[in-house]
Amino acid sequence: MTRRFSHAAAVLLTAAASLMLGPAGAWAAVRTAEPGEPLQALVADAEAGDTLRLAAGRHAGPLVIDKPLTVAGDRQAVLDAGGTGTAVTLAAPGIVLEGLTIRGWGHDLTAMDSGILVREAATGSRIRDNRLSGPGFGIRLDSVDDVVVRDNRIRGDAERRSQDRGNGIHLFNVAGARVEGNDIRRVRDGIYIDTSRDSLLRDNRMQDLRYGVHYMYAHDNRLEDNLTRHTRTGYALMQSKRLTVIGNRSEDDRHYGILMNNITDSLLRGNRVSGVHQPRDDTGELLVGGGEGKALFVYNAQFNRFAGNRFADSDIGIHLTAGSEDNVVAGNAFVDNRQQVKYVATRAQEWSEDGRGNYWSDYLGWDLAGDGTGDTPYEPNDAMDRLLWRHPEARLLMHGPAVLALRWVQRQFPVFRPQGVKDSAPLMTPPDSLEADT
Amino acid sequence: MSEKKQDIENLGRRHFLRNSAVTGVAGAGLAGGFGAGALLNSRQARAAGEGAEAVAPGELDDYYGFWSGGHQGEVRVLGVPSMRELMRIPVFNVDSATGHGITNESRRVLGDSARFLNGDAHHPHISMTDGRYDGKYLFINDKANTRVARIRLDIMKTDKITSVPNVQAIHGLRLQKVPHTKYVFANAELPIPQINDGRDLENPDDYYTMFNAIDAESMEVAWQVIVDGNLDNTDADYTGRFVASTCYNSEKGMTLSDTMRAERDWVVVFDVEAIEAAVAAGDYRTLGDAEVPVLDGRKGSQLTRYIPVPKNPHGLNTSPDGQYFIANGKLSPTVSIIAIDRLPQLFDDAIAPRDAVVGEPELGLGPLHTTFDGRGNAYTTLFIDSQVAKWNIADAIRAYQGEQVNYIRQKLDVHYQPGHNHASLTESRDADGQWLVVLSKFSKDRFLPVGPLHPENDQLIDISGEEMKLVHDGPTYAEPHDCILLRADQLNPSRTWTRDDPYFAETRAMAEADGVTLETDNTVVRDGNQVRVYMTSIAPQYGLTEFKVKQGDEVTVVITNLDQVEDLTHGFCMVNHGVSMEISPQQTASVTFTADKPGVHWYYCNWFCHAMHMEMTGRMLVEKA
Repeated sequence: MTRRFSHAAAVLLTAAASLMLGPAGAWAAVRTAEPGEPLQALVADAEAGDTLRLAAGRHAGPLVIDKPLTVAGDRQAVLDAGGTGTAVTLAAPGIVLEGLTIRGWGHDLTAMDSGILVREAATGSRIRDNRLSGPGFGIRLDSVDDVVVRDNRIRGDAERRSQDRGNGIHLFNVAGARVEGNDIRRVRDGIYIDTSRDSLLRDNRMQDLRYGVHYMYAHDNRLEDNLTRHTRTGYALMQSKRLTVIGNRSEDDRHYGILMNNITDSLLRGNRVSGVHQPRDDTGELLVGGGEGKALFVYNAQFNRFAGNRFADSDIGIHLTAGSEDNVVAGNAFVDNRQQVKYVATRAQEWSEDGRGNYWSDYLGWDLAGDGTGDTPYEPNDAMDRLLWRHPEARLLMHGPAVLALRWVQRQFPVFRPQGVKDSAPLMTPPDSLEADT
Repeated sequence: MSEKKQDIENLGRRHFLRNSAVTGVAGAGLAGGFGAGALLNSRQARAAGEGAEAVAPGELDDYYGFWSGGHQGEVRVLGVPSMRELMRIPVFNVDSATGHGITNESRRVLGDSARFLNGDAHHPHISMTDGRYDGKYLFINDKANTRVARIRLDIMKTDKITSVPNVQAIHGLRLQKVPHTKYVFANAELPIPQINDGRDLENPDDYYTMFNAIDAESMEVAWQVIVDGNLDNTDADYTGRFVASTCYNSEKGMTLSDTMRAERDWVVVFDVEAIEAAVAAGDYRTLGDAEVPVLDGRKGSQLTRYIPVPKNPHGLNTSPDGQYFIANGKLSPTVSIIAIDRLPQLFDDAIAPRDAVVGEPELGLGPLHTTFDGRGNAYTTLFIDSQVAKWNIADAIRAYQGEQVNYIRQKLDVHYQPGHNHASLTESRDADGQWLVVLSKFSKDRFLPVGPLHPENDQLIDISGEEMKLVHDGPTYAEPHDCILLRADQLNPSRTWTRDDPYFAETRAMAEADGVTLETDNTVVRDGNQVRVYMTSIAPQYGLTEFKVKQGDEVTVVITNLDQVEDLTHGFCMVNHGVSMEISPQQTASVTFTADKPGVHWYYCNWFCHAMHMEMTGRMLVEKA
């Protein structure tokens, strides 16, 4: 077989403007592959640092990139794996894969068929601005460091059962990954991150899928400004330490907005969760008893800081249990949740810091001192929560004889009062940072 | 009784919640229909105090429960639903009260492994005939020292312990259900080199583990099957042909991350009939010193099939109608329903492995184990959600076929992070859907603090109705992994020993060789520096109140308790010799020690027996050598 192109030919074909410096400083070639040209052979002929441009039209996969190349298209270039296996495999450092439409990879989850598979050798590769659509995994990183996955659009196969689809972006045993600006829908889990560390997940959008972000045993990661909508759980953060979770949104997720299970030494700040609820029958009872939607579920999680978050319009605002103590909860807003707090424990918790607590939409006290905090502590009580959730107008009547009598009775029998959550300095208005978003 | 009272209280609370909203808005004051009690019913109080299903003093429980003692090494017997602890049966541990691990009889049971002072007992299972508990034996594994033990349920003592060769860490253990418990099936969890004698340490690719069948009567290892991956939990079917095991490390990874890579691991199914045929045909080899037939069940073998299921599955449970194996997803929120009637086709290669899966319901986070009520519902523990999900198997299968159907019936919070769960009679055809025990791995704040080490929390749930109701919190010491419940009428334990019990037959033979009649003689037999001291005991006296030996003698004390009164157990404790044992009515027990200190050494009865119990003593006189 003859060499299909040479550096000189490439220069002639593409003019001087296409000349670039490759990673080694040598002049790199740019080659355009027309539909029908065998891509694998072009890769075999290319040298490190070359660029392979895929022209518009259908290109047959699969493709294994085993040298540091740029493989690029203008979105009109379709790489089709033909219905089985993995479409593109990255197996060399510093590969750039961009602007491709990738489809037709396999659905065999046992074999972990993927749109793009990034292997251990592909350190520092960049995958950006691709459009992927297929049944197995979208982009799967396996034991690789410092990979960037940016601005890709990933679509699963809605015709398949949820559990038979792959994850949108699947990070296994990775370090230093940056996953930013991706839009992921109708896959199983949006971004799955397992046994990984020091990674950043930012500004991704995940919709109509199982778990938006599914963390398992992944320490020292950053989760920032992501959006989940219509998922079963927005952010499932599990068995991980030292997470920074900032500015994420969960809208109309079903089971949990943010779930924190066995998470320690982590920060949750400026996250906004709303509309986590489960279907109910005509009488208001849950269709599945015990399955309330929870804006935030904190389970066996200690030494965390929850500050400046907003939890709204959900079955339960925050559910803490299993020894979730020694957390700082201050400066948050709990707005119009059917039950603001569910705290299952036997030891008391104070939820204010330096004289500033949280905003509670059902707080009934006064601020005679005018310092912005209520004069009596807020103590969540499920009966009152529910009453006010059902009939917000009742707040106006709260100083009526009925409620006063109820409260008097409660105060007279402290022995029956649960050890629970107490906010000694409830905020009279939501923190400024959260007001804009309603 | 109390259940009714609870219902009334629940009703009261619901009324309060409904009415209070209306009342509050109307400002009409304290309306009728609720009282301060309902109002003040806190979440905490409810969780802890919702009426333990009381069995009054003097009343007997409806069920026996057998609990494993985890790495404490014993088995515990509880009454259910009272959750009162009735007895402890030492198995892999040394027990000062009964002398298990100290007496000659128990050390014969322990065999060579008597040198181990620890064990790790996980899975207690009761022998069956035609898929029903026959109450004869209970079997349990020892993960720590690769053993399987048998407990005789008439005397509630460990009577056989088998060390399994060629493998490490017996984890999953279940019994053949049909036609009867001929085999104990035991999964060795951790792959090792074959042969593991140090000749090959560095090649994990050559590590393998095995599925083991132990003859339930002889307690000899009948055969072993080498598999790919590793082996976690297991269960048998109701035809006698198939046994299935989960594998969470199909990667055969040697580090945590390596074991997590695969999207799917598998359930490996064993064809017992094919294995027996291969053994009969001599189609096996042996390894090292062991004579056990070892067969090859790796991929491609006709003895096994590998069914891919989502990532790192854990529990494996057979539905009591015999239709399904359920593999619990652990790192997947699903369980996989495998149709047992499709397995013959799978072994005939008429269907693909995944085609044996007929349902894969999404239940919640961290499904570990499933149990059944015999009414078509399954109950799965969700470790991460810390809940039990009740779901309907038929509906889950319909959902898998594409129908819009809600298969989840209820989710119940448990406290905290459940591992195994077990419904009454669930592993038999007689699953009766009355009680569910959930073994929670953490108690956290549920009990008075007792230092850094916390008890576990075994919770009892009433599943007799449509709705699961938590009725009891039970703190337990390290660390029940699993339990099994059977009806009280399914067991018939002895009230006293019979004199011909095989448990002390060797001791009886020794006495006969010495010309001693255990039931009558009180005598000392000297044989070189070995001294055998035979005595009877009748409360409050030993048959010998003194005996004389020489310093350095190896002394064997054999005591026969002639009392016939139920519950009149004697003890024997030789002060300053580390010697202590139980001798129950009509039992013979013996213990051997060295009389290494000259002087007078008292012995006394340490199981309370009589008003003059304190006076039940004697002296060993040791002459200087």
